Amino acid sequence: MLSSRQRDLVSGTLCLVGGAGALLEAGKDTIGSLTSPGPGFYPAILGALLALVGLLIVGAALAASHATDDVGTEPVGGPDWRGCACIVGGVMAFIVVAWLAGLSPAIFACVFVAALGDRTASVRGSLILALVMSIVGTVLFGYLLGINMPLWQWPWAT
Amino acid sequence: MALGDMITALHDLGHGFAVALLPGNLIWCFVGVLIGNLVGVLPGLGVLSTVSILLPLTFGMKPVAAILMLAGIYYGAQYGGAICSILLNLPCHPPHAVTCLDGFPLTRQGKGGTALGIAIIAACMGAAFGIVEMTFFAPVVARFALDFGPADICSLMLLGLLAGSTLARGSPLKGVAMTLLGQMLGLAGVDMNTGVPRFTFGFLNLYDGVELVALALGVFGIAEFLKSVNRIAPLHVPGARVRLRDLLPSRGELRTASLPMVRGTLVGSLCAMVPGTGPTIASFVAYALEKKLSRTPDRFGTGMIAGVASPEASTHSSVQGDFIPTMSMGIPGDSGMALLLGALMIQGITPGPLLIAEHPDIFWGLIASFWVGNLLLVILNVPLIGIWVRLLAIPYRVLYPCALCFVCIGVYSAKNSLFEVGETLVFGIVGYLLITLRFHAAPILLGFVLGPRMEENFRNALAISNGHIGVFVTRPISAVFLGCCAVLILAQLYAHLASRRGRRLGAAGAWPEVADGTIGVPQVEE
Repeated sequence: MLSSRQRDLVSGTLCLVGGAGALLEAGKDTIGSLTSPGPGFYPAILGALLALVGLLIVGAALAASHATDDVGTEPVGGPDWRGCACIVGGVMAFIVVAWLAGLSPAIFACVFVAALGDRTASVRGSLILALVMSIVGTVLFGYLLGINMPLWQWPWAT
Repeated sequence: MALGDMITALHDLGHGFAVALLPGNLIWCFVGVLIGNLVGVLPGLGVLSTVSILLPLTFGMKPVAAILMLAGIYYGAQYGGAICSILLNLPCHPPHAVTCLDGFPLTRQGKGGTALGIAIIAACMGAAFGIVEMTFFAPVVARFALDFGPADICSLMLLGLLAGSTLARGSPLKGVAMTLLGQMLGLAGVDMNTGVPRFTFGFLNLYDGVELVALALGVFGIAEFLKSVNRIAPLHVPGARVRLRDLLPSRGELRTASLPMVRGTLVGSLCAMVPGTGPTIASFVAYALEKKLSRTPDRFGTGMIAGVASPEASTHSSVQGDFIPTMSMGIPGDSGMALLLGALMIQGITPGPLLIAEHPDIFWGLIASFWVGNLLLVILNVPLIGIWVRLLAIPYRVLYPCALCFVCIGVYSAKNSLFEVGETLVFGIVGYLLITLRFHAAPILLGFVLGPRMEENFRNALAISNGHIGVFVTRPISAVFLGCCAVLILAQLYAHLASRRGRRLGAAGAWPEVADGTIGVPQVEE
C-alpha cells in the first residue's frame, strides 16, 4: 500500500500527465483565438487547468509536513486480485459470448465467471446462480423488455 | 413573492396532480419508489448504479413517466437508507451514515422501532418542506434565470462545478481534477460547431460521444464491485423484529424530536440552495448543529432522539430541494441530479429556465409525484420494514454477479452495441484506480453533463462580446457568480491553512466521526 503522501504524488503526477496529454491532443485541432475560438480552444483550457491542478497536488504533497490524507474517506485496501480478475473477466465474457452466441449464454458466462471471484464461491454454486440468472434475465430482458439482441444464435452451426 | 404567483403555482400544481395521477404515470412512480426503497436497503447496490441500469430501459417510455420513475428511485432510496443505519448500524447509503451514531444505540436499547418511527416522521416533514419550497421557489428562480446570457450561465456552471467538486468530502484539488476529467470526457466526439472529432483516439464508435450510461455504470457500478468484492462480510441479521406498534413514538419523544426536525429541515433546504452540497453534507451539518445546540452534547452517540430526527429531516429536505436548481436552471447539484438531467436530455428535453414553461407536464407532474411518491413510501415502509430487513441477508457473493450482468445488459441496450460494454469496463477499471488514489468519482459525472453546455455558452459569450474575455466580469450577474467562486476558493484555502496550523481547527474537524470499520458497503456517491 502506498502512504498517503506517495499516493498524492502519484495522483498529482497522473493529473499532470493527463493534462499535458489533453493539451497535446487539443493542439492537433485548431486552437484559434478569443475572437474565433477553434475546436481545440476549450479542451486546451481544460488540459492546462488539469496540469496545473496536478502541479498543485504534487506541490501540496511535497510541502506537507504531515499526511494530507483526505479526511473522511473510507479506507481502501489493496486490490483483491481474484475478485477483480473475475469481475473484469465476467464483463469480457459477456462481450465475447454475446457477440458469438447471443444474450442467454452471455448472461450465463458473465454471472458464472464473476461469481467465481468470491473466495467462498464453489463451482457448483456459481453454476446454479448463473443458470438461475440466465433464465431470469432471458425472461425479463428478452421477452418482457424486448432487448435488441438475439437470445440464442449459432452462426457457425449452419 | 406576490400572492398572484402563489395562486398560479397552486393552479399549476393542480395540473401536475392530474398528470401524476394518470394510471400510467402513477404505476411508474410506484415502481420507482419501490425499487429505490429496495436499493436503499440493500448494501452493495447504489442509487446511481440503479438509476443508470434502468436509464436505457426508459428510452422507450414517455418522458414524464421516465422522469417520475427515475426521480422516485432517487428519493425512495433515502427511506431505505435509514432502515439499515438504525437497525443494523450499516450506512448503506452515505447521507444516512450519521443516523447510525444515535439510531443504532437506540436499537440496542430496544427502541429501534421508535427511532424508525421518528425517522419516518422526520422524513415526511423534511420532504414536505422541500417540495413546497420547490413548488413556489423554482418558478421564481427560472424566471430570474431567463435573463441570463451565455456569460452568466457559464459563470454559474463554473460555480456549480467548483462547489460540487470542492464541498464534497475529500481533497478539493482532487475534486477539481475529477471535474476537469469529466468535462474532457463530455467533450469527446465530434465537435458540434466545426465537425472536428475530439478525444476520439481513432475510435469511430466515440464519434457521437461517450455514452452517459457507460460512464456512470463504469465509475459507480463496476468500480464499486472491484472495490467491494471479498470485502463485505456476510451479515448476521439479528432479531431486528419491528412491530407496527413499536413505530409509534410516545408524546414525549415526539416533543423532543420536533425542534430538531425543524432545524434539520431548514439546514437541508439551505444546503439544497447551495449548488454542489447534496444530502450527505446536509445530514452531517444538521447532526453537528444539533450537537452544538444541545445542552448535553456529550450524550450524543448514546441514543439521542435528536440525533436521528435532525439528520433525517435534513437529508429529505435537501434531496427534494436539490431538484430546484436542476429543474429551474439546468444546473445539477450533485451526481444523482446530473444523471437525471442526462435522462431529460436523452428524452430530447433541453434543461434550463424554459423547462417549466415548455414542459409543464414534466415539471408540475414531477412535483405532484413527489407528494404521491412520499405518501406511497410511508405506506410501503411501515408494514414492509420487516421484509426489507430480511432482504439484507442476501449475501454479496450473490448480489454482485447479478448486478454485473444487469450492468452489461443495461449498457448494451443504451445503444445496442457491445462497444459500449467494453467502454464501461475501461471506465470501471480507471474508476477503481482513481478510487484507490482517493479521488472521488462523483464530480466526474457533474463535469460530464455540464462540460459540453459550458463550452457552448463559453463560445457564445465570446462570440457576442467579440472576443472580450472581460465580459465575464463586466456583466453584473456573471460577476456575482465569479465572486462566489472566488469566495469559495479563498474559504478552501483558509480551511486548508487553518487545518495545517491546528489539525482540529479546519473544516474537517467539524465532521462527526463515523466508525469506518462498521461500514459495510461504502458508496462513492455524494
